[in-house]
Amino acid sequence: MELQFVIMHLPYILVMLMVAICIYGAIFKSNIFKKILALYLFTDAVNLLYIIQGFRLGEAIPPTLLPELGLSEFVSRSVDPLAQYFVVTAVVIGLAEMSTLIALAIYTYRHYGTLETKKIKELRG
Amino acid sequence: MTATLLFQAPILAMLTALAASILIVIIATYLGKRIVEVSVISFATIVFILSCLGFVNVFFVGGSYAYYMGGWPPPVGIPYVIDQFSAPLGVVISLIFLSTILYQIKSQEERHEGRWGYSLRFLMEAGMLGLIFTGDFFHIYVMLELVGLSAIILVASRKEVKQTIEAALKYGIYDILAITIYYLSTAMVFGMFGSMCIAEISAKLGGYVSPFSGGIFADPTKALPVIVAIVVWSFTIGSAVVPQHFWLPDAHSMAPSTISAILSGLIVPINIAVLARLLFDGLRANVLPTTTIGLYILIVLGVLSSIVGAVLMVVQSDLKRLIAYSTISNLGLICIGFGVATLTSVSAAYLFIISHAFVKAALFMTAGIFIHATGSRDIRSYRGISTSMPYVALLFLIGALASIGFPPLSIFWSKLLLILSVVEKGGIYLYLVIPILITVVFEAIAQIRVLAIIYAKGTKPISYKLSKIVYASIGILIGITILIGLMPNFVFQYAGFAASDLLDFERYVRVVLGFLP
Amino acid sequence: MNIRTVAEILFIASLFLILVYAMIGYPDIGFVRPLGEFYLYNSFNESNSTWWSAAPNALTGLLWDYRGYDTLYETMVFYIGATAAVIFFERAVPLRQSKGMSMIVRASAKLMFIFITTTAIVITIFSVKTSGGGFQGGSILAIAYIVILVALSKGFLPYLKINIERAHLIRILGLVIIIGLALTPVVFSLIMGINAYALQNQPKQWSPFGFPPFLGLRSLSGGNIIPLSIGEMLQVGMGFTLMFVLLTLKEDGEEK
Repeated sequence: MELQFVIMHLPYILVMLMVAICIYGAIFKSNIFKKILALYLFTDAVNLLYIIQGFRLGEAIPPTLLPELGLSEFVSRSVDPLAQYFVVTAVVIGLAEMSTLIALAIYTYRHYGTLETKKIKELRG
Repeated sequence: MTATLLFQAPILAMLTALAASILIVIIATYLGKRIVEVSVISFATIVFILSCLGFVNVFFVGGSYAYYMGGWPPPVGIPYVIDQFSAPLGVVISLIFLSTILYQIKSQEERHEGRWGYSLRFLMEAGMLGLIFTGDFFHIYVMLELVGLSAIILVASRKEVKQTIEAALKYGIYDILAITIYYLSTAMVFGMFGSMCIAEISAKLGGYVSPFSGGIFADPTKALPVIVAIVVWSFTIGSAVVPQHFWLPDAHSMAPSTISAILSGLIVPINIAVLARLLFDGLRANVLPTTTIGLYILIVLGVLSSIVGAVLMVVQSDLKRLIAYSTISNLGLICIGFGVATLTSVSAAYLFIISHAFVKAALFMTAGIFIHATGSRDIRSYRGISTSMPYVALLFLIGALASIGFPPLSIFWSKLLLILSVVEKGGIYLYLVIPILITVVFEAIAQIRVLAIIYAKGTKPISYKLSKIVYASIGILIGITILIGLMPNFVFQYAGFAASDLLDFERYVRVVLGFLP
Repeated sequence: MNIRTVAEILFIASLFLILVYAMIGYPDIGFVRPLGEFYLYNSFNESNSTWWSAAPNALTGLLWDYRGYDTLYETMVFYIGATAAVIFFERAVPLRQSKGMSMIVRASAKLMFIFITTTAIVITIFSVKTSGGGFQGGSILAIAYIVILVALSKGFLPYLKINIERAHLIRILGLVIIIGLALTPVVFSLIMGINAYALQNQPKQWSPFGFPPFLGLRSLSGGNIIPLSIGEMLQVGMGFTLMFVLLTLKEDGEEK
């Protein structure tokens, strides 16, 4: 496996490492707050994956057609707007997720006094 | 051609649900209770009528079609696919919503949600309609979030009860985990296919090169199995397939009755229906060997789910948990149906989804009446309740019998068709008859035990007044269950149409991308 | 290091290896896929007027025109997020005016508020040309209120004529704008008998309904993108404000 290949794919591998660690945190950690944090970082990792896949080497410019740019230069230098669109949508959605989960976590703390899953086990069966 | 109400109907249904969720807040804040009730019922009815119009359009007038959002053809825009698979499900979704809204308005359960409760319910309805009609991979993520978040908040309605919050939190973390795993799969699909349109993904796997988005950008032998695995994993977490089922009994037993009805009856099976759509129409499950392995995984997990769910039903003492385990078991059977992937078995699974929706909603709503009348969730405290509430007990009786698979009610035909399809496929699939029969046996044991307690004699009567509308709402569901049971040929035909639409990805691609020469 | 930890680590390690195996099949990073280039080429290309979205900022064109339906539902998801905060933390506590605010403080606070709000509106409206957008503008609008909240305590909010009910109303108004614009093509199509699809922006060959692309000046374009962004700004701004106000109210309504 040549160096060029590894370098070009290194961002992918690092993102997948982050994904794996976050899934570990979300499933196997016993503190609710750590789980919620791991879930949000998981969303962030996937956002990173999108941005990596939408990147353009060379002098990248954002996908806005400023008047001084010609159309062909704009198309050949700009980054992928579709990838950025998904990230923008996911950021807003992730925010709503976190708002809900944290509100629930706050209520759990009020009721149970703890945030450890091993102690929040009133329901049986 | 688009200027007809029939064409725009499903989209109008979704937009009406959205508008309803917003306007309800204003109406509830500034106008009286009567107006709120009337407007909620009318919004739900409008959505139902519009989905029926969509059904009529697909089956009797125009045939399956794709609706281009914003006027943009895919992959530039988001297509919505109204075909024989999604149109009946749309009708089922809006009908069950209508009946739960009727129940919710007139039942005597305490209302903890205030004005936001109706808002979230309509958003959940819009999200579910979007889930089955959409033809865009990323759009499914947004819809899953919409449905999931509103469900999580509504499960936690009774915030003062600590077990409710625990159940909602557990459900929340599992569900968000499942949805984020699905989001990961969308990122990988984007990298590999360059577009998010399900039809385009299907076409590209068959060698098509799109004038808009090119061909395939990654190695299919390496990337495709992982994408399939991640998609299947995400939906099995979100649909409580064993061994990822731990959140379902808690969440469905602690939620208010109508929310349990919608969660168990609609959301969880519709998730599997969307998975089936993705696997068969998008990833070409019957044809590509890598995707077919996903189907085998579904079968294995389905067998586990059906057996575990049925067995655990018997030991429950909480009525709602018992019904929730019945959901897990039925879902296992639906997974088996989709996994076997013949025309008959997919029809059986589809029919199972529809019958399960009605039966489960009816069961949860009657359970809600029992719980509220006696103040307890324990089955043993319902001893002899049939003398005080004969009609409710009768509705529960029919629902429980249907759930077991008692002929000639609806689920009987689904299970029968499933057994026939497995026998027809032969070979090793013959052994799949065993889990189906096991579920029947154990579910019968559990339900008959409940029925024996309810119909026992000689206890003091409880007085509990129920509005006729509540009877009507559950009556609609039970009535449809009986109707489906009495017309098997009719429903088999429609299930067959739906299954043939699902399995025929060429037709799907043609419907969505048909504008291309 | 018991057996359970080993099993967990094995599970995650195998998950990681599977994902890396998939990524090996992916192309080298650094190129833009053809669909992205399609959007870049056509987003503000008047010569190709069937496929354009009248927005020089391709991202905004995507957000509200090409994939506008997605954004509509994303907006509703944000609405749910703010509603979660409202359901869980709303108490019927009026915001009392605190005493003894000197005139200098009041005046400077109002001035700061006006500046921040103007920034928010500018970012929203000019999102068609440069980076920005409804959501970004909404966040800044919320900052205007939050700055007042944090720096000057809650008692000041009644001076700005905001209370929780009014915040709800503005939020709903923003959503009404967005959903109304989404419904307009459909209603138009049913009444006039022309092809039109939901949330349609510019006229196309197969569907002649459209909004005027240039609102007066040549530099201000976008059809229905700008009103949609304004609706989003109102909704998001008030949603954020509600979340922060409700999360800092203590149980008995004391100021923190």
